[in-house]
Amino acid sequence: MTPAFAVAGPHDVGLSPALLARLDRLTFRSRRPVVGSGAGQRISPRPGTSAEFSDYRTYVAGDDFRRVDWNAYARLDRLMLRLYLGEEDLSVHLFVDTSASMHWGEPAKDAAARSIAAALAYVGLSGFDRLGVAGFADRVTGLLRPQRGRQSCPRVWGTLRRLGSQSTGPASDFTTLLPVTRSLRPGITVILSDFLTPLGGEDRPATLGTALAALRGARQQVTLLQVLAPQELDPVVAGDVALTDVETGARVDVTVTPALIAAYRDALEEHTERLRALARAHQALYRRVRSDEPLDLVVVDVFRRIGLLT
Amino acid sequence: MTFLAPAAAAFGVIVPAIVALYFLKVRRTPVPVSSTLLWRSMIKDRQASVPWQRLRISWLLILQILAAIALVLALMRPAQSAPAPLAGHTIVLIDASATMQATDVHPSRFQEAKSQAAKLIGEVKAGDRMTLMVLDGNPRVVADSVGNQGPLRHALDTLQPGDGPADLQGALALAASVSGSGTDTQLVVLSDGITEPVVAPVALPFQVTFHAIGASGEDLAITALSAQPGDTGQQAFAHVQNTGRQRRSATVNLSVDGRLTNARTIALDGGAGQDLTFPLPPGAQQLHATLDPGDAFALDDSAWALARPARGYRVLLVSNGNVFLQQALSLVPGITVTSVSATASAYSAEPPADLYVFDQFTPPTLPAAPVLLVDPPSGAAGAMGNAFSPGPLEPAGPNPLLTGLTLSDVHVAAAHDLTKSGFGQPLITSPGGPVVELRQPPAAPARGVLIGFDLHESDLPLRTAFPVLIDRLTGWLLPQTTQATYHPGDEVGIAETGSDLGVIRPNGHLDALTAAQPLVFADTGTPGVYTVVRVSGGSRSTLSRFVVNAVPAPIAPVPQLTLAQGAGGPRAARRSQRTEWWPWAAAAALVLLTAEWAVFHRGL
Repeated sequence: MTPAFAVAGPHDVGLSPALLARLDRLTFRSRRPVVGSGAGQRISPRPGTSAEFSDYRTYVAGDDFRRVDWNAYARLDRLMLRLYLGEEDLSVHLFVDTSASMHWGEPAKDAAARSIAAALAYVGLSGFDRLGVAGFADRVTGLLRPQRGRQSCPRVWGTLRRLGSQSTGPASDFTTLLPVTRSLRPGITVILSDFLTPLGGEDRPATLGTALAALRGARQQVTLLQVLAPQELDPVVAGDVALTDVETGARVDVTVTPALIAAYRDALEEHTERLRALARAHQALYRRVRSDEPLDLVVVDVFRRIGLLT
Repeated sequence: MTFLAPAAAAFGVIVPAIVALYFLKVRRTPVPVSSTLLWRSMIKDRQASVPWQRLRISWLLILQILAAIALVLALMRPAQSAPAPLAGHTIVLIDASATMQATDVHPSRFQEAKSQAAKLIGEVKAGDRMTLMVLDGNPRVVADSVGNQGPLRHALDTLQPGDGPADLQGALALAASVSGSGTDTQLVVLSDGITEPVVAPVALPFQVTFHAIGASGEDLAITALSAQPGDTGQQAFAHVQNTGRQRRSATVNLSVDGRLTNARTIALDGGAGQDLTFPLPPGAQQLHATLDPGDAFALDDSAWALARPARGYRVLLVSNGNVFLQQALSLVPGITVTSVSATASAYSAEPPADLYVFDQFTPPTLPAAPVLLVDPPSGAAGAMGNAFSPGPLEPAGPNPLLTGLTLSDVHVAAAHDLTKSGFGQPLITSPGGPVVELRQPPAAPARGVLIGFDLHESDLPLRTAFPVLIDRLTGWLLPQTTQATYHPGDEVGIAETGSDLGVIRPNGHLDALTAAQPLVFADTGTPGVYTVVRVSGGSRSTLSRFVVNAVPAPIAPVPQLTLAQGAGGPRAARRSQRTEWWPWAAAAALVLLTAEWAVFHRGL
C-alpha cells in the first residue's frame, strides 16, 4: 500500500550514505534561545534545569532510545520518552525557489537546491527539530507542515522531489511568503534561490526586502542560500546573441565581447554585494554556492562556517 | 599628388556600407538565460529593435570608416612626382686635388665628398647609369656602371686625395665626351671649388650641379723656399703667407740636410705675408721648412728646396747681337753667359761650355752638349723650310715647360717651316706648322731646342712669357743648374740617359725608369725631394735632384663653381621620379584596424 503522500529515498534527492553518516553529527545552530513546542535539544528561555522532569511522550522511530522510560514501558507496554524542562525543539522552515530560472544551468540550480534542502531536512529531523518545507515562485506550492523525527525524512524528501518537477514557474516573488510567515513558529528559515531579482532601487520595490522584514517580525533566523550555475558566474556566450529570459521571455540583444563579459561580472558582483547588504540589514545569514559544488562540501563545511549548522 | 588607379575610388562604397551595417539590424542567435537582469544593467551594444535605428557615433564606427578610407586610398595608388635625385646618366666628379685634404670639414673635405658620393651611389637603381670621375691634375673615369652599385662603391673606396691641382677644364671635357649625346645627363661636382680656371669653353650638354664642400679658409702656408748665394754665403729665403682672415702665429722651423738648424716665430694678420731669411751652413744641400703648429691644411705647412751648387755653369751665346736673349739668359740664376759673335772662328776659339745658344748661326757640327738654336740656317740643325706666317701659337701638347704660359697673344711675322727639319718633336705649333721643337737623347747626343723664327720678327720677347720660357728651357737643357722645383703631378723630364736609372721618392722608394724615351718621371704626387740615381750592381750614384712642393693656393672654399662663359650647353629636361604612397596608406589601414580590434575588445 503506497502512502497518500509522496516519499523518496535519499538517493532520490542526491544524498549518499556516506553523506548521511556525516550529517548525523550535525545539528542546526540557533543564535538565540528559542521556545519550542516539545522535547528537543535546544536550551529553553524558560527558567528551569535540564534535570527537572517535565512530561512523557510516545516514542517514535528515530528517537534516542536512551530516553526511553523502561518503567513506563513495563507498566503500559508502550515505549515512552521522558521529557525534561529546558530541552526544547526548534522549528526549521525550508523555502525552495521553484521558478523557471532555477531549472537552468549545468548542473541545474533546482537540483542542487533540492539536494541541499534534503540534507538540511535530514539534519533537522535527526536532531529532533520540527522541519517544514515549501516551494515558491509566484505562489507557494508543496507546503509541508513541520514534521518531527527521522522517520519523516522520506516524506520531506518526497515533497522536495515533487517540487523539482514544478521548477518551470514564472519569476520569483518573495512576497508570496508573507501569508506563510504569519503561521511560522519562531525558528530558523532557510530560503534557497538564485535571487536574480530586482533588489530595489528600480521600477518596483524589492520583494525580498519585504519578505525578510516579515520573517524577521515572525522571529525567524533567516539564512539566504544563493544557488548559481557556473554559466551564470562565467558566461560562455559570444558574438551577436539575443539573450532570452526563461522566466519573463524578455529579450536583450547584445554583442558579447570580452569587455562585456567583464562588465557582466562586475554587475554580478555588485548585485551580490547588494544582496549581502540586504541580508545584513535584516540580520540574516547569506551564502552563495555553485550548483556544481560537491554537496558534502557545501553542507558540512560551508554551512558550519557560516554558523547555520554546528 | 596624383592617383594611378583612380577607378579604385569605387571601392569607397564600403564606407556607406559600414555605416549601413550600423543601421541594419544584426541577426542574432537566440540564447536562453536564467535572467536578463544583470545584462540589462550594463548593455552598451547597438540594439536594433526596429529594422533601422538611429545612428550613434562610436569609436568603432569612426575607426572602421577611417580604415576603409585608408584601404581605398591604398587601392587608388596615390603618387607624387618629384625631380629624381639622379638623372638617367649621372656623372659624379669627385675633387681629389690637394686642397681637398683640408680638415676644416670633419674628417676631411675629401671624406665628405666621398660620403656625398656614396649617398648618390645609393640612389642608383636598375637602369640608372652612373660614371665616377676623379678631378685632379689628371681627370679620369674610375668607374662606370648601369644599375649596379657594387663597382661604383668599390672604386669610391679606393679613391685617395692627391697633392696636385684640379684640372676642371680637362674634367669637363672628359665628362662631355663620356656623356655622349647628353640626353638625361647630369654632372654632379663634389668639390671645394678650388680648381684651375676653365680657360676655354666646353660644350656641356647636361646640367651641372655643384656641391660646395669646405667650411673655412683659415690657412698659414709656406709659399716659397729657395736657397740663394748671399754676401756671406748661401742663404735660405722663405715666404709665409696667411691666406685666412684671422691673425695667426706659428714657428718656422728650418732643417738642413735632415737637421734642425733654425727656427723663428712669426705672427701674421689675415691676408698678410712675411719673408724670412736664414743663413745656411757651408755645403748645405737640402732644405726643409715646416710650420709649427700645423693647421687644417697640412700640405702647405712644409716646403723643400735644394741649395745651389757651389759652381755656376757656363753658357756660350753665339749671336750677332740679341738683347732679348742676352737679357733673358742673364736672369737665369746659376749660370754665366759668355757672348761671342756669330762666326765660326769666334765660336771655335771658345772653350767648351755647358750650354750653347746659337742665334741665327749654326756651326758645321753641333756640339755634344745641350744647344738652344734660334732661327738657325739650314745645316747641322736640319733643313729649314720656307718662311710662312704661322698665325696664333699654341702648345703642341701638354708639357710642363708651357704650363701657365699664354701663347695665344704672341704674334710671329714669319717662321721657317720645320716639318722637314728632322730636329725633334714639336713643342709650340701654329695653324701653319710647328715653330718650336725639342729633341732628347738617344735621338741626339744631348738635349736641344729649336726656335724656328727670328725673335726680332715676333713680339714674343715683349711678352711676359718670354723670360719664363727661356728660364724653363734653360732649366730643361741644364736641369742640374736650376732649382728644379715642380708641383705635384708634374711630369719631370730626366736629362740623363741609360737603362739603369731610377728615382728615389721622398718616402725612400726607388722607382726604376724604363728605357723608353723621353725619360719622364710622372709619379710626383708627394711633396719632397726626389733623387735621380744610377743603379749599378748594388750601388747607387746620385745624378741629380729635384723638388716637388705643394701649389700655394688659398683653401677658402668657393661657394659657386665658375664655368667658362658658354660652357653650358642645352639643358636636358630632368626626369621626374614618382613616389607611390600606397604602402603608407596600407600601413595606416593596418594600424587603424589594429586600433579597432583593441577598442572592440576593450568595449569602448
